[in-house]
Amino acid sequence: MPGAKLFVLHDVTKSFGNLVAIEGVVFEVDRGEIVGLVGDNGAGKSTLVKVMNGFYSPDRGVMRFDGRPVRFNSPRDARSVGIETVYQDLALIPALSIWRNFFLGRELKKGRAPFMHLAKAEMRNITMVNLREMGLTRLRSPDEPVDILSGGERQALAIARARHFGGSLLVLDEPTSALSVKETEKVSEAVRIARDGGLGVVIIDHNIGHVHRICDRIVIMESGRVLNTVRRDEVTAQRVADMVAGRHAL
Amino acid sequence: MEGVTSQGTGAVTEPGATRSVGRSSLVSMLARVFAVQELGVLAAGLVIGSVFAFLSPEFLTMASAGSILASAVQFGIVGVGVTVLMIAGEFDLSVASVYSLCPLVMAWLWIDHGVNVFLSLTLALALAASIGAINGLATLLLNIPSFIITLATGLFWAGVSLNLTGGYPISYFGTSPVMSWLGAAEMGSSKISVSIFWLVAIVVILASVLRMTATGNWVFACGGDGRAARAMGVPVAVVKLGCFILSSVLAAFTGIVQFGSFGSATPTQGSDLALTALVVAVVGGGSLMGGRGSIVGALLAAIVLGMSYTGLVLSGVSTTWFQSFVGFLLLFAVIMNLRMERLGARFGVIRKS
Ligand SMILES: Nc1ncnc2c1ncn2[C@@H]1O[C@H](COP(=O)(O)OP(=O)(O)OP(=O)(O)O)[C@@H](O)[C@H]1O
Ligand SMILES: [Mg+2]
Repeated sequence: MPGAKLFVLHDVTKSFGNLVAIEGVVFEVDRGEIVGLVGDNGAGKSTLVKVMNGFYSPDRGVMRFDGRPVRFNSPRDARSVGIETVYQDLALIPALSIWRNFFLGRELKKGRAPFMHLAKAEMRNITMVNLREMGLTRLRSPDEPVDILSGGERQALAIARARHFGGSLLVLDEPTSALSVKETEKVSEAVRIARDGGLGVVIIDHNIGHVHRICDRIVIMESGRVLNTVRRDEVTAQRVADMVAGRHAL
Repeated sequence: MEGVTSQGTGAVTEPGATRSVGRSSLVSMLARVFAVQELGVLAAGLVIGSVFAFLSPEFLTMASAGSILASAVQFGIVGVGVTVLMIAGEFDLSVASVYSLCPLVMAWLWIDHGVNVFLSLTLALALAASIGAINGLATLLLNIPSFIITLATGLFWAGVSLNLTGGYPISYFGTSPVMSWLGAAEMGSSKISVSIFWLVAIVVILASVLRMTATGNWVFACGGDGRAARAMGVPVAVVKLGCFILSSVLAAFTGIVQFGSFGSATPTQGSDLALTALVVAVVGGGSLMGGRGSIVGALLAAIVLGMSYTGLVLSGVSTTWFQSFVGFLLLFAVIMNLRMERLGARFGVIRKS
C-alpha cells in the first residue's frame, strides 16, 4: 500500500510461562530508515525482534507490514514477505558447509521435477563472492564446515547471507559483537547502503556510540516495555546512554 | 561417494611436505583417500572379509555372496531409513516391531482373509506410514524425546503382532509373482535374491535426495541445529515427520521383503533389529547427536554385518556369537571413523559437500 509505513507493531506482548518478556510494545520502522534498539540485558530486545521475524508468535497485539495486517506462523512466513534476520545466536548449522548454510531454506535449484536438484556450482560461487565482499578473503573453500570458522567469520557469514537475500526489512541482533573495528565499520557501511537502497533496518547493539552514529531513530527498552523513542538529531549519545542506564531524570 | 577439492600443496601444514614434488603428490593422493567419508567402514569390511576368506574357503563363493547380500538387504533397508531419521536428529526404536507387524498384517489379510494381494501390501505399508506419523506427531507435539516415544510405541506394536495371530507365524506355499518380485526369485542360476535390487534402488534414491536436493539439505540442518534451521525458514516439523514416516515404511518394507523371500511371516522375528539398525547408521558414519551420516556408509555397514553373519556360519563358529561380534565391529568402526577424520584434517582435506 503506498503511503503506509513498512512495518508497524501495536501493543505487542509475549510471555514465556509467567515471565513477561515484552509487554504492550509499540514499534515502527519505515523504508529508508535505520532504527536502533537499545536496553539492558534481558530488556526484551531479542524477543521483540523474534516476534517481528516470526520466530515467536505474539500473545497479543497487531502487526502491519506494508499496511496489511500480518500473522507470521514461522520465520519462513516472515522471510517470504521480505524480512531478513541476523540472529544474535547467528542461526548457523556448524556441521553443514558454508555454502549450504548460506542458502539454507533458499536453495537454488535446476532441472525439472522429479529430477530437480541443487545448483551447487552456482551456490558455491555466489557464496564466495558475497563472503569476499564482507572481507572474508582467507577462506579456502565454500565446502568447509561452518564449525571451523571463527566467531567473527560466522557473524560475517550471517550478515552476508541477510544482505544477499535482503528483502525489504533487515533485522540485525547484535551483528558486530564479535567483530574487529575494521569489520564493524564494514557492517555499518553495508547497513547504510541497505538503508539508502530503500530498505528498512532494525539494529540491536549495546554500543550506544555506534548506534548513535548510524541510526536515524533510537528506541530504548526497559523490562519488556518501550521506555522512549528519540530521533538521532534530537539527542546526544550520552543522553541515550543515560536513559539506558536508568538515569531518566537527567 | 564424496569427492575432494584438491588443495595442492598450499593446504599442507607439515613443513617439508610443501617442498618436494614427490611428497606433495603423495600427500594429495592421500588427501583424496581420506576425503572418502566412508573410509572407516570400508577398512572394517576389508579386514573382516580377509579374515573370513582366510578362515573358510567357501567364503568367496556365489552361495556365500547370496547369503551375505540377503542379510545386507535386511540390515540395509531398515538401516538407511534409521540413518536418515538419525541425520534429522531423531531415533526410531519401533522399527523392529514394525518389521514384524506389517508383513504379518499383509499375510493375515491376504492369506487368512483372502484380501487382494496388492491391497494387502498397500494396507500394510499404509499402516507403517501411520505408525511413523504417530511416532513423529507424538515426539513433536508432546516434546518428549523420540527415543522414549518409539520405545513405547515399539513395545505396544510388538504386543499387537503377538495377539494378531496368537503368536503363530503365517506361511505361504503358493507361487504368486508378487512374492517372486519381493524376493523369492533368484537371479539366473545364482543364489542371489532379486531383493538386492530393492536395496540398491532405495540406496540410490535416498543418497541422491540427501546430497543433491534442498530436502536433503534440510534433513541435515534439522539434525544439526533444529532451532537455527527453523530460524532460516526450514519447516523442521514437516521434515522430521517425513523422516519418521520414511523410517517406519522402510522397516515394514524390509519385513515384507523377508516375507517374500522366505514365505513366512512371524510375529517375533527381528526383535533385535532396532539396535542393529542403529549400529548400521553409526558404523556407516552417523552421529547420535544428529546432523551427520551417510547412506552409502550405512549400505557398506549392512554388507559388513552380512559378511560377519555368513562368515561366522561358514567358519564353523556358532551364530550365537554374532552379537558379540557386532559389538566389536561397532567400536572398531567408530574409532576408525574418528581417526580417519582427524588424519584427513591433518592433510588439509576438504570434502565436497
Ligand atoms: N525462549 C525463552 N524462554 C523463556 N524465557 C525467555 C526466552 N527468551 C527470552 N526469555 C526471557 O525474556 C527476557 C527478555 O530476553 P531477551 O533475550 O529478549 O533480552 P535482550 O534484551 O535481547 O537481552 P540481551 O541484551 O542480553 O541480548 C529475559 O528475561 C529472558 O530470560
Ligand atoms: Mg538479545
